[in-house]
Parts: sequence; C-alpha cells; structure tokens
Amino acid sequence: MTLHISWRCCAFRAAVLAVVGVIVAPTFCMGQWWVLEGRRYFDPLPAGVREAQVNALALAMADRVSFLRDDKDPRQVWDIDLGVEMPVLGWESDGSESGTVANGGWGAGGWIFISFHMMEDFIDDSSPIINTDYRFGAMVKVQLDLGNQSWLGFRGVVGHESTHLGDEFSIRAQEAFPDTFERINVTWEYVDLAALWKKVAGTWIWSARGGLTATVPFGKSYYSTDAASVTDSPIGPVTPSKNSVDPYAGATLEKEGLERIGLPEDWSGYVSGEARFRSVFDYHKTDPESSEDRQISINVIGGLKSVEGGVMGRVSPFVRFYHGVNPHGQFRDQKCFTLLGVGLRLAL
Amino acid sequence: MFNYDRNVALMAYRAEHPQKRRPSEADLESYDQALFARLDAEITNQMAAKGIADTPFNRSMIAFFASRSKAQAAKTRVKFGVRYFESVIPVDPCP
Repeated sequence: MTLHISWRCCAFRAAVLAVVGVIVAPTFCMGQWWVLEGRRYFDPLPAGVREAQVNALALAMADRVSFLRDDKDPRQVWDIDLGVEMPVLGWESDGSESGTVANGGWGAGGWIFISFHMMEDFIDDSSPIINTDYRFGAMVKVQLDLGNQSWLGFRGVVGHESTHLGDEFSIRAQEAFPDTFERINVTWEYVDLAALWKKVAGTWIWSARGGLTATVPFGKSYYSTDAASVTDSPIGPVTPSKNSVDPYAGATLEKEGLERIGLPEDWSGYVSGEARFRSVFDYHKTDPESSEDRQISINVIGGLKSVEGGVMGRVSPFVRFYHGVNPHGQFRDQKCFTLLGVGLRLAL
Repeated sequence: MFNYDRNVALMAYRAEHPQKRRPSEADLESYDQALFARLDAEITNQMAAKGIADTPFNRSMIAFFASRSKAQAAKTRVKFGVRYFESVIPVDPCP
C-alpha cells in the first residue's frame, strides 16, 4: 500500500514537473542570460542609510553619543559609507537597454553586496572611530518593464550585520566610565523585502519604494546576550530585543539638464529621502517581554552629479540631514540623534 | 527587421554587453527594438530641431551615441547623442 501511494505521488510530481517544464523551458530558451554585467533593476536608495554605496560625509556635525569623554554637543564627525553591489547572474525575457529591462519584458538576477559604515569623532583625543557596522549578503532583484518609461522592481535581501566599537574609543571609555561603559554585541541576520516603482518623464526621474527589514530567524534579538557573546555591561543583565521588523519607505527625484539655472548641461540634481520606523534599543528593560519604543527616522540628501561623467566624473557633492534613532551599532538606543553635513559620494 | 543599421545596432549591443561577442539575431533585434522604443521619438524631434538630414545612417549613429550616454531620460540621452554626432560628423559609407 505504501509503495502504491509513493508511485502515485511520484507520478503526480513527474506530471506536474513535465507540464511546468514544457511551459517554462521555452520561455527561458527565448530569453537572455547575463553574467557579471551591471543592471539597474533596483538601484540602492541614495538616502538609504545602510545601502551598499560610497558616501563620505566629511564635514558634519552630530549629537554626542554615549561614553565620549568630552561633553561638547553637538560635535564634528565624519560619517563614511563604503559599499558595493556586485552583479553575478541573471536572466531577461526580452533583453535590456541601458541596464533596464526592455520591450515589456522582465528580468531577474542575483547580486552579492558588502558594505562598511563608520563614524569618527573629532573632539575627543586621538579622534577615535566610534563605531563601524559591517554588512554583507546576497540579494535577488526583479524588474518588470511597464512601458511608457516606467518600471516595477522587487528586491529580496538576505544579509548579516556585525557592529564594532572603535578600539581607541572603547579603551578610553572604559577608563573614563568604569561603572557604566557597556559593550553590546549588535549582530544579526536579516531579510529585507522591498518594492520599487520608477518613472522617467521628460528629464525628470522619479522613484518610490517601500519595504521592511526583519531579523532572521523571525523574532530573534538584534543583539547577542548569551554567555558566549561579548556583550558586557556593569549596569546589569542585558535584555534581548523584542521588536524584529522595521518598515521603511524611500523616494528619489532627479532632474537631468540644469543648464537653465546656469549649471553645466551634463549636471543633474537630485533629492532623496528615507523614512524608517526604527526600533529604539533598550538594553535594560524592566520587563524583558516588553517591546521597544520606536521613532520615525528621516534621512534626506540632496546633491549634484554629472550624468556624463564629465567635469565631476561620478563624484557627487551632497548635503545630508538625518534625524531619528542613531543608526550606528550599539548606539541605536539613542533617540532624536541629529546629523547634518556635506560630503562627496559616488553616484550611479 | 531592424529599425537601425544592423552593424550600428551590433556596435551598441557589444558596447553594452561586452561578454556576448556573437549575439543571436533574435537578441540583436530585441535590442534594436528597445533602442527604437526608447529613443526614436526623441531622435526624430532633435534631428529636426538641429536640421540634421533624416537618413537611416544618421538616425542610427545618433541612436548609437545616445545609447552610450549614462543619463536616464531619453531627452537627455539623445541630446548628448546629437552633440557627439555634430562633433564627429560621421560619414555614411553608402550614401
């Protein structure tokens, strides 16, 4: 009887596979594969705080973070992002042109990414690096050509984040605050799912996206608290986080051709914003089962770039304003953190 | 059936897909169609505005130059395509 059921089961599966194969195989035969070629299915959000891209916010002021020795507030900082998305393999139903799918078709591909996000203080002795966040992982992107110069994109990311306090910062903080300095090992795996709509109208390029980032396994704490972790606090037991999903939205508006306002004709201007409903970490909750507070955290940047790589190459001067939960490592327990500055970034 | 000169479409395709040395005819036609759909209306407008003779060769060369632009808007891409075209004035080998 068991053998009989297995035969039926196998026959059914074979039939389903055969039908699916007959339908899908010609489609993939007609399409085009690509390997290690750039595609613009789902560009990183310029204002994305932890997107894999290159930003050097070199002249900036930010609120003081915990355990800095000097009380000056606000203070001069650097905020550096160094990251890249590397295309690996993909397939398109009707080819692509200038990196986007064409002829009403669709495409899908896999990328790997790696990024570093560092903040350095310039007020304390030796200008310590306060914190560096490391992210790496893989992503799948899908793009559909909706026609009339508009596209719909989807992105699924599986990644890991590890955060590290700077050594000079830690050593001096431990000396200055022996009774309160704590080291929280913020390290987690995550999935990020997002959708993007993009439209080119005349010389305007619009895009809007929304998504969510969740810990993996679902419900897992953003930081380690077990005995084997390096989380260490003289204040008392560190309670795991309960929130595990942060929704977000972002938008970018770009205008190509700024000669009408006296700028070179190959310059474009852009404004990009991200709003994320961030969790405010609370390492010493009175009720370990309670959820963390949240704060809408806004990051807005505006800049200029050369679309032809002429005068400025790919370098883009920009202004950035951030307000909300401190996005750096264990300092995500700080609400109403504000950062304002100017810098250079590498634009797509 | 190509909208632009086949060899020019091949140049543009090879420039964008450097790993595909010998694209199939179907791939090339698909790419040619994508270029046409995205750029041709703007090419027509800007060629007329600039007084450029509307020949298949001129149209194809402007499409090629525009395809190499890093801009995203067709209007901007064709503007740069026309600018390069006027700079080099390519000669049609088969007028």
